[in-house]
Amino acid sequence: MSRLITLISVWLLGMVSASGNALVPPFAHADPDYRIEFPRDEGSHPAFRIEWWYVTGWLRTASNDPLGFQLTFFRVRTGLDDDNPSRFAMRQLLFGHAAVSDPRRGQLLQLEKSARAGFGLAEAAEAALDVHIDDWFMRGGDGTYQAFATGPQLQLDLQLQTTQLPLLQGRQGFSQKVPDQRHASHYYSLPQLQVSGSVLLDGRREQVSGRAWFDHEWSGELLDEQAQGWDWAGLNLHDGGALMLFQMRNQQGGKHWANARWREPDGTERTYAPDDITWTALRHWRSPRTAVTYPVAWQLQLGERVLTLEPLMDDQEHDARDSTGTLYWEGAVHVFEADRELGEGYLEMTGYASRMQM
Amino acid sequence: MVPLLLQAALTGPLRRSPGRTLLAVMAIALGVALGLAIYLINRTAADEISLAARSLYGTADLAVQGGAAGLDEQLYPQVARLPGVAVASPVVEVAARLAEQRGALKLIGVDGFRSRQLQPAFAAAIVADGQGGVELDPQAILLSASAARELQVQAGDFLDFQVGAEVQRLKIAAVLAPAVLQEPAGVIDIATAQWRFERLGLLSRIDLRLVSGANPQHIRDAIQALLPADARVITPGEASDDALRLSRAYRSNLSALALVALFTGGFFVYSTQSLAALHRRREFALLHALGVTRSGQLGLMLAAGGLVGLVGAALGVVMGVMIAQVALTSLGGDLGAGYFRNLEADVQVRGWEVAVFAGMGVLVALAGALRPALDASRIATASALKSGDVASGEVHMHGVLVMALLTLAAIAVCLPPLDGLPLPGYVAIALLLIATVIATPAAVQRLLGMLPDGGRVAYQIALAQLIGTARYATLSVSAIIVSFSLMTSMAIMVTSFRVSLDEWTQKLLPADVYLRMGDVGESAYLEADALAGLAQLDGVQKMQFSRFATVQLSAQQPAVTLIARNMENEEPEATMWMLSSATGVPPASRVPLWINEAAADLYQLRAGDELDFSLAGQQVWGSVRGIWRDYAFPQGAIVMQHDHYQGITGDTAANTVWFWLRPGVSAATLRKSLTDLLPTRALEISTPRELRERSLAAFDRTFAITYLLELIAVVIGLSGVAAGISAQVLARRSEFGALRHLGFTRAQVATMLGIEGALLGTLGVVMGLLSGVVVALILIYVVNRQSFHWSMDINLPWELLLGLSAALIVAAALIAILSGRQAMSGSVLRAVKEDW
Repeated sequence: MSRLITLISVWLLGMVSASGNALVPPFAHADPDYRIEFPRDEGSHPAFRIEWWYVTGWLRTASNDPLGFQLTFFRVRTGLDDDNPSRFAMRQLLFGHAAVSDPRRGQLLQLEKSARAGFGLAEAAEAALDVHIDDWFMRGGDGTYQAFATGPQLQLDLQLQTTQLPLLQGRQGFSQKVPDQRHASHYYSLPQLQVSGSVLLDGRREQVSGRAWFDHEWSGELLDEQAQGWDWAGLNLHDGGALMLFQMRNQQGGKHWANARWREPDGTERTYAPDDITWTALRHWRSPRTAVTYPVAWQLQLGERVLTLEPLMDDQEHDARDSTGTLYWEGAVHVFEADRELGEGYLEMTGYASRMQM
Repeated sequence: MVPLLLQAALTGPLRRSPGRTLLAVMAIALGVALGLAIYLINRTAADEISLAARSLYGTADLAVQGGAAGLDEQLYPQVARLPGVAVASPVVEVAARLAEQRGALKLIGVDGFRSRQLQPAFAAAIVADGQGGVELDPQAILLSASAARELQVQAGDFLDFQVGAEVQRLKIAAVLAPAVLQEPAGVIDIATAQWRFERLGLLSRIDLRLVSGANPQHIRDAIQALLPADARVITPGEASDDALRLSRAYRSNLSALALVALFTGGFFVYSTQSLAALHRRREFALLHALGVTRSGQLGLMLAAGGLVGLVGAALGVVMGVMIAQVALTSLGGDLGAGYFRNLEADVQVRGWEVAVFAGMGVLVALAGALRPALDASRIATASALKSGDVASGEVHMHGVLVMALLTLAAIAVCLPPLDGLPLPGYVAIALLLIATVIATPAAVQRLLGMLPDGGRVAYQIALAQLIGTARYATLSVSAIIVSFSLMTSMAIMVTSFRVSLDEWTQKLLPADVYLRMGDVGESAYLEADALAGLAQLDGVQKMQFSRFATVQLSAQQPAVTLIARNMENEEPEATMWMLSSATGVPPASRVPLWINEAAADLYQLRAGDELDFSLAGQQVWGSVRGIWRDYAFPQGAIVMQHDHYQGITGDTAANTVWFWLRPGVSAATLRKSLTDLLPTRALEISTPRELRERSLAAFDRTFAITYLLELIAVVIGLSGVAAGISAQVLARRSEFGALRHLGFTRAQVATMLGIEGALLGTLGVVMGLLSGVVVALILIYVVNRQSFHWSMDINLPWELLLGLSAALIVAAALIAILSGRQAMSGSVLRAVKEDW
């Protein structure tokens, strides 16, 4: 699913204005007939405009305190400098982003990293998952992955182990974002990942374990002009099932497009069409810092099933205005059906402060 | 008792002769003011430069600095991966020739993703700009505020740069806040810098921030092990030192001149206090008789000198700060010498600096007062009480002392510079001047003795008076000797330099028209095919050209300019001012090279030596065939034949072209056809006359401040003469009374005084000229050589020296006459009585 790109949006804006009317190089576009293969498609697809490897999940410390975490690498093809012979040519950029939601702290801890690809210092390998920016990395294969991010207040050092086959989103991994097929991506998820490792928080290292959700998505097109933002959730269910759902909102706040895919514990999968999906805000939270109001609790109608999402903590707002000008909410949530906790996952909501520009 | 005594011994005498006291105070004040002002200007410039370096290097701890040829970009990942390196930010710097305007703009090519970790201010400026993402536009340039002001452009405008024959256009995405980047420069993307400005594969430097707690020396060593010989690891502080080193010799010479003013002030105190000591012999004797001890006496005299110093220093500090402020706003941090561009600074004064300079003023005043004070304390009470204010007239030769001082001076002259600065030379000058002053009384007595006696009475009396009181009389001229000799020496040095520069310019510019496209290290140049076109132009009889490049001879020294010229192999003398040439034939395997004096001095090379270096990645084995005089490249320059250069580098381009015209063809005609052929404004076309005028104008601008300092030294010296003579004349009121009694007319007394004054002035001028010539020799052959590596031929500015001498002598005579008139204004009777 088209997940939030913390740093990229403004950079891209710059590039659009920079290239102006100049000849925009042809980006590769998602192809409905393309068949995703492993491990080939775990690697980078540099011909496409944008790509990400996105891990979200819930961890438990040794004392069983819950922590939400997110660790992501983005790759962006700028469309610039294609004819520049310099090894510094700004053809591919890599971004890293990491955040931890710690209810003991009450708000997010975040890290970011960015570099132009090259010189072996920041690279996204093709044909296998191996992305790194300096000492940050995400790599692995055959269902076992390592991810590492580090910064002044936070360090994440995680091993991820698959317990299920990849979940191809949309039609065989071709995921449409709007009514028009032009805005689509290649998209698969690895739900129910077993996580182990350590988190260094404020100088204290804690051993952690938990469950995570991994997304890998690449596309040639950016956000549809009519879309104001999106709501997305990736949920690991306690019974072993997995649910991904999203909606693109139009400028009136209504549903522009929606999609959901539910995998049962027995492996059967069901896709929900836009008409079968309804997102209803249950509770709003107003950020004391930015005065933006986010719907932090939701009721989700999926066909005949009714789920609710409740956040691990209300304040999981990402304020990246200083670096990129974007404001959004992304954090750990519980999912309930009636009063029964069905599972845990991550919710992302963009475009509530202003239109998401990318 | 004590306050009364203090009043009698200390403030009283000072108040009794307010004019003389005021002059002594002013002399010290001027010295302190000039010293402090020049120091403050230098320090402000240095602060500004290190501030500029700080904004350029941001929070970097170290920088890997490439040599003239740059760094291989492969070093970047190697250095970035070293343990202990937290951030590595590659930088490509280009001196980009402006196509539409004169001059070049420094372009700093950075990888914004890396540099913003060291220069968060850049990133903040980009975001604050409100556009976002400007950093990602390869055609964008972020201009520093000073560059935008200098070029008179704003955000949204375009800037065109001449790169070779091509023009590269960049769009000004934003103008940075002044604090973000101090110097006039533009920030562009590193890939654009490499590609559009022909630096593919190369970096200028890599800025590094270390992991906190890392051992910098350890990392320095680890990095150095990766580097080629011409690259080095420096701290940002060392980088700004490099920038300052260029102008260091100039600045230290100015400081020395300022201290000379203080030194002159010290002589002034010496002469006035000595006169006072002689005048007040009876007073002192009386004080002794009243029970004041000799050490108490010494203390009182010193206190009087100290008081003069203190008041002078206080005044000097105020004046110094004001001078510094005015000079900085009107002349700039380099005082017009052209070393730093666009430094904008306010003088910030620190307490301890003021204390040091004020302390120097007081110390100099005390030192000046010491000798007279000692004399005063040794007065024999009885005889002094009886004989009153009569000078003993005894003259000591001080032969041993003078010889010792001169020997020390001779030794100092032979010493090498200290840390690149000609300090021993200045010490020699100071020693020489002190020796001159000490030797003056004896020399004066001998000189006067050689004058014919006889003639008119006034003349005879004047002569007798001077011979009889040689020590007393010459005291008043010591200040003028010092200041006049310094002025003479500066005049000789500056004239010699100017004449040599002029000759050098003419020697160097034998052709009729010069064309220049780009300077050393700049992006503009002429392509080979354009050159071929130039040779075909109508009216061109002969054409030569040269190409500028830079080579690194040592990692510790700034890069040296390499000038590749298609000159006649056999006759380097035709276009260069050869100082020495190698004999014999160079080995066939070695490239003949001609180096300038600076290169010869800096790298200790002589004609015939071998010189190896790396040029554009190729090893060059050269042989120094000769050393040429040069005033243009103080960091060193090497001339090579263009054929050799082209063979080594494959570079066929040129930066300057020299045209010899057919008879009857005017420079204007060629200029017209040149601009038609090459319609770029990065081109400079000049005639030898224009170039010569430009270089002399630059010279005069640079020396404007030295002229000013010289003038001040003379003013101090003249006031010394005025004070000395008038004091002396006033003290002789009783003598004039006696002369008038004997039938002298006022006019005769005035004539006698005029002759005395003129004789004294002449003595001061002669002694000053003599020592001035010697000081000039030291300046030319030691100080200048060591500071700038410039040699020059001696030229005496006869008219100037004669004029100044005459003015001084006339002034001395007039002062004596005027003082005499004042002295004789009272009644004759009272004057005679006063003596008894």
